[in-house]
Amino acid sequence: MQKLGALFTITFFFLVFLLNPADSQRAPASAEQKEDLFGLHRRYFFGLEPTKEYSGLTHVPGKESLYFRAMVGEIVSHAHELAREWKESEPQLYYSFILASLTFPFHESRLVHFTHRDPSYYCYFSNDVFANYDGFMDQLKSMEHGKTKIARQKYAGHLHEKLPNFIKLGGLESNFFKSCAHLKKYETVQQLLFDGFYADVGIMMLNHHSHTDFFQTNKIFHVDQAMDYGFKYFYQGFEGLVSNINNYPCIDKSAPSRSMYLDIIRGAWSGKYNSGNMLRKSVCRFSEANHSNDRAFLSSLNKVLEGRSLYHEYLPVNSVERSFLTDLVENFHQPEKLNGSLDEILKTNYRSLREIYFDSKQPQPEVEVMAKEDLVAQKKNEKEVSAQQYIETDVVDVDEKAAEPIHSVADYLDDLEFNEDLVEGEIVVSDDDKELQIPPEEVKVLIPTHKVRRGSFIGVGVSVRSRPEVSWSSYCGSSKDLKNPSKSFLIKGESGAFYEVENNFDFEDCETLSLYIYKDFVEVTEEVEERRFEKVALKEWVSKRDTYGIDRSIVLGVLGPGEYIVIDQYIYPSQDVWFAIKDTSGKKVWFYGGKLSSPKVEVLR
Amino acid sequence: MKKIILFSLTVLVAVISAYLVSHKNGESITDAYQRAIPSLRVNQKELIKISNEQLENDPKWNAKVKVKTKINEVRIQKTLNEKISCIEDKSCLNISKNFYDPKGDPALGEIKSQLELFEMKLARDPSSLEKIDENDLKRILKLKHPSSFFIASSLLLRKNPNSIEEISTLNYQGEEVRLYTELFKNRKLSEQERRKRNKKIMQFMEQDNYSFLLTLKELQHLTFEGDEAEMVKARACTRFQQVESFSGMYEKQISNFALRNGINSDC
Repeated sequence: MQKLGALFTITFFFLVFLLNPADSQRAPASAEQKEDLFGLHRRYFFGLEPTKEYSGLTHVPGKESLYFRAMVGEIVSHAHELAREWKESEPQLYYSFILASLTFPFHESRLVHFTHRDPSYYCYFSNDVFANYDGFMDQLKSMEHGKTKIARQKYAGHLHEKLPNFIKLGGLESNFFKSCAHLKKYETVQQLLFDGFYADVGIMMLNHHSHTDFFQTNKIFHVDQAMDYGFKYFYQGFEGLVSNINNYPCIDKSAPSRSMYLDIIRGAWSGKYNSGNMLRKSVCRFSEANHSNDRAFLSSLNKVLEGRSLYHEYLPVNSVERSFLTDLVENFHQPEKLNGSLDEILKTNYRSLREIYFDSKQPQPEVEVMAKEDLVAQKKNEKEVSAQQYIETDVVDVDEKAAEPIHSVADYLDDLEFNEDLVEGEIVVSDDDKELQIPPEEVKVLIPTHKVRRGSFIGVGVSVRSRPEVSWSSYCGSSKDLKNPSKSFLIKGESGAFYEVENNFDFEDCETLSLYIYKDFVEVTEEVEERRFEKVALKEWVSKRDTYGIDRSIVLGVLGPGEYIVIDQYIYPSQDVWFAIKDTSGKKVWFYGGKLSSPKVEVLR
Repeated sequence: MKKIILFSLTVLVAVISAYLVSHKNGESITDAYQRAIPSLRVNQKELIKISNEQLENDPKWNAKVKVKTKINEVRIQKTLNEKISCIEDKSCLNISKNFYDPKGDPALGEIKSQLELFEMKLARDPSSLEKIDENDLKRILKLKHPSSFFIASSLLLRKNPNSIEEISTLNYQGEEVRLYTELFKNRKLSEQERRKRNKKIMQFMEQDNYSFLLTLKELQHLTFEGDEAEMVKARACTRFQQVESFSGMYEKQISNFALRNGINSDC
């Protein structure tokens, strides 16, 4: 009987272990724990107060599936924008660059820039050490010596050493990051990822000591701009390597193309991106130096190639993004075999997904875990190829794990371990001297104005006509066929039962200046528009920048004396005026036009 | 017999359990322990010693930052001069073994910040232009730090429009090519300026492949008159013959340039 009992006990525990119901529901728990979005970095997130300025794609617990789809969309769009000319001329290079672009942010940050969470549960070491350093050190002194104490000393030391540069470059206040106790009054906060040394930041893990121009503008708080900068930096290295490939013997051109392109990806990362230069020893470090960074990068690359990456963990099985990734991994070196899912991704407007795109200047919709019904409801009236449309079709494929927040008991205990001993009081920081506002606060002022009426379509499928009459011959098209039917249009006048509107619709065979829409289907709003400068003559040389304001822009080049068509303008309350023009590369660029009272420009008619 | 069966069964269960623990989704036993006991994740070998002195100092971000409410050109001039000198003799470069981007050194960022202060001062008081040393601006150009280069060149050209001569005597390679070509965009050029620019473009195309490729890209944003475009294209085609790898990248640029200028796109 005893033997039977023992046998039963052993068999029972064996079966419990084998079935392991807890893990069966959440794949990120076991081996993938290392890939958990927070597993590697939990201590290095900094919570931001909602009053701070930030924007962009944001991880929200429970929406991982959606987040990763949008992430693929963002990465592919950025990479395509840079390498688009290679698509026809060097397709293997083009797709290798897309693959590299999907790989290196995964390696750098596990694809997280921001996460948006409840600070009562998720507030970390970093905020508390920053906000209450003295209190933290006092606690540390009285703490029993052990591994935890040593670890805390280590991380506090990194934070103490590196973070001041980040604060200084951005011109941020000395109490920019608040304590967890302070943040707990908010339901959710935006959290920005740093590395363990507090030197690299965000999805691209840009180092604030090495990219000072970028960090001086505080663009790091805007995901799109951080990605833009990071991808351009990577692209420079990639392009430099392939054009001077003969300088790098570690890239074997006689090897099978798959192998050669993988070496290019590794060399581009180990060179410019990870070493900061294109010296032979930097680019070829991956094959000659057995450097731990290169081994780690290879491991990340292999995870992407072997289907073990976070993309594979979270992208829905039938999603277009997953299908593209699978196809790309198989065929990046033989593009003729790739299917057309790339175009579908490039057409998708992922930024319509308001639940994962945050902007501190705009109120955020509810951040509840999304149900299928929510997605369908939000899709009404949308003709634009929006992300919602794709998601509607395969939301049923979203894994159950995506519907629950990614925080395991182990994570929680780990956080507790680090947080429970910290004093949660907020340090009182004395006010610094009043800083010079460079430039003054951003408030847009209006110069002489005039009123205009604008309209938008009411309902779906509204007819747009070339004449103010209902007939087949006057029919130009339907609002359904427009790329963005919700976009408003200028109402120029009235003609019977129709509004005469400005023709910005792009209908074939209807290229007159005005078109007509039946009044009942137009909602009219009255707007005040500022009067704009239209054409200016620049009298002297100025620096050319990517946006207005010296402290928030990057210098792109110079503009010499000459005449420029103004496409945008910005005027500070101090009457400092900035103008945007299109430069010879077709990009919108800005320059300082001086004081309105003593301008550097002459206004032309 | 029953004992033997029971013993065998127990051993079998133990072996299977051990196998599953160590191979479940690729997780090793060490990983499993580390997952279960978070404190073990701290790798002792990585621990570094931090001196008490370092930890007890006031954090730098709590230090009061004195910001001048008045921008002083003399001070800017002095700071610039010191900074340029120490960059030239490399004494203040933050050269690190792990990562060093010669165009991203923080010292160069400080040069740019000083120049921006000067730009702000100039916006309020145009007469300040006289107070900045032309020689310092020329020294900044030689550092080839993009944003500093652009601000310094705009200041230099405001002071002395003939400075373009001197700027043309510098060597530019790889990404630096754009520093030079930028000065010839978005404006109408004199014949002399075009001649100087074209000569330099020809020189860039003879350099390494990366300089060649970037020059071809820059050509798309420059304007040419008369037979200038034909001459440039002819040189580009000759140089193209030397390209061994990824020739499509270059071919595409040459073809774009030709189409833009209304000339035959074949090499």
